[in-house]
Amino acid sequence: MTIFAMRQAMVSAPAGDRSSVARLVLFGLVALLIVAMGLSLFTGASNVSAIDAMRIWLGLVAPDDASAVRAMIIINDIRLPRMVLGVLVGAGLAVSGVVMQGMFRNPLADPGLVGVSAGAGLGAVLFIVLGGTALAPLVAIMGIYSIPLAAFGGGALTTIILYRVSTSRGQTAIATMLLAGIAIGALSGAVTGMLVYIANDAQLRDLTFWGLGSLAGANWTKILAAGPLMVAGIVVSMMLWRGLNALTLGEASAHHMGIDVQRLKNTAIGAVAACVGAAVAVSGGIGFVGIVVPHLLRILIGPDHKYLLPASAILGAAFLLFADAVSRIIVAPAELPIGIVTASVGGPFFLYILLRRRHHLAW
Amino acid sequence: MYQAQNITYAIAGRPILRKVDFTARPGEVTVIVGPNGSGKTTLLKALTGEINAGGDVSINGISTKALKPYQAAALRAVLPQSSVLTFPFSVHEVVRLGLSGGVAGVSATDAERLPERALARVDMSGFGGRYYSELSGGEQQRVQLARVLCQVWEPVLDGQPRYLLLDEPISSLDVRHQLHIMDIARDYANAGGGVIAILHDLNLAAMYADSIGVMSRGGMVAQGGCQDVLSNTLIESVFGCPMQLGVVPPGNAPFVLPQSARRYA
Repeated sequence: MTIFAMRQAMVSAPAGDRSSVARLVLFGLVALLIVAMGLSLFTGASNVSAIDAMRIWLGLVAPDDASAVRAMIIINDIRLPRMVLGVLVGAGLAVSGVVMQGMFRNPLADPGLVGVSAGAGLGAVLFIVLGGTALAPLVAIMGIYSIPLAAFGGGALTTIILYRVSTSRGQTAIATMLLAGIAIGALSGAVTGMLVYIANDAQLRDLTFWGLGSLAGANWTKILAAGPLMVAGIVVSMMLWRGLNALTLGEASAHHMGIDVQRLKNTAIGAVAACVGAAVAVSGGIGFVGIVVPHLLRILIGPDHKYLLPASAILGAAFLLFADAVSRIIVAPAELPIGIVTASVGGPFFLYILLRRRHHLAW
Repeated sequence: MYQAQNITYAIAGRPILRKVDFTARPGEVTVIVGPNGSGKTTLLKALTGEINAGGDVSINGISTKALKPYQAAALRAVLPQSSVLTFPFSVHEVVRLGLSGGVAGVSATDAERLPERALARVDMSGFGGRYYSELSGGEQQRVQLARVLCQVWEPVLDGQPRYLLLDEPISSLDVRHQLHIMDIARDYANAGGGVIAILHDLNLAAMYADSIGVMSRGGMVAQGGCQDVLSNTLIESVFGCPMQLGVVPPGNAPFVLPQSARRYA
């Protein structure tokens, strides 16, 4: 249907209007996400199949069937939360990439590359290591939300610093932004390193696992802790499309077109910090989702944020679930941290973008 | 009426605008002329609220300070001197951006076709599918004008005249398109809207303006009809070079001919 339908849509739309194509791509992406969700639920180290899952959900399992009970636990308490977390983290990271790129008016802005993830990581590590001692009173107040909120704070702070350093009079210097990102990342890394140094053995294991980025620790508590913040960040981002579109012409033009630019930037920083902070808190440093996904989609449907934001959310979720599946299958029964998978796709991709754009980079 | 009173603005203690008064009426094309650095663009920025200058600016009697950004966007649209786009937008998508903030004043179904109509208006039909970045400077300028037109398409909405603010709209255009764009401005004014344009070409200013404001060193030295403002002595002293003023039959169109003191001495 697709090619014919796309041709039809393109004939009726005015030249250069890619919105009908974008709508079709959105449908395609939803289908892709459903496939990815299936893959995430029905593959894994233990062979629990789709049929088993159906029987569990339809209540066809006898309560005294030991293997069925085991399958039920695997599906409901391991794979399902992992899938939900993958969808949320993937969508959140991709959307925060789009928002940052729109706010900085720069296709290379990515939370991982410019130090926002590192800042969020620092906030999280602070609470992992000192949560039992110095920061115990705060943890007592915030409960399971303390690590996500700390990561949110770290992410927000780094985004604000980054914006202040690299932007003057509404213009962002690409080189300054990337270099400031390196500096902020290094500083966060140094402080994180010191915290790791004073961490005890149990904390160290948590930290190592978490640092490489993984969905393996997924459980319903984590989703409860980080989910609301991530959903809020994603939903708010979706509502920024008009402003981000106007901002592509510059801050002055956005103002002329009726956008409250300062409010837009504040909201964007909050949304990015919420998505990245929550994602980092539960899954560590998963990189490059925010740069690969939006870039591919701009080629496919154009840069209109009305479609780019939802499409990125869906493709980001699917991309992360596929990467997670690869990370579980490639060295089964052990598994690779998912950050390694996304980085080995994203690193070369980033180089490719740089190569294509090197004549256009304004240094 | 678009009115500015007693506008002052300084950067690091250096005055850029000194107590500028300026008025643009609906139904008229108001042109601002002046040498480089005389404060024309800064005045335009003060009119749009882009900079926070001292004094009062009002649109149709409402102070711009009392207007929210979206309310101001429904009353006036601004064409900047140049626009840089980061992402690979098609021409159609750039023009459509004009609809995202403003109130075109047309029905939803008409709004869908508005980008095409606006492109046709600026003589860019058939360019909708091209990438904006692949166009020439003059073509990009016309596409931006189409975007700006979309924002305030109907010159009068709910009895309120609306305004086009154009900062050197014809600076990179060929002669035919210079006239074409100025005709669009003329038509907008004739339909009840107001146009404020910064121009460098004194002849086009004389040809199209109902009112001309002459700026020099941050001040508005004169504003009024062409006949009153374009006098030899004023123009010569502001621009610092000899000028010959005259009229061309049959319509007695005014013209301004700069004369090089060196070549024709």
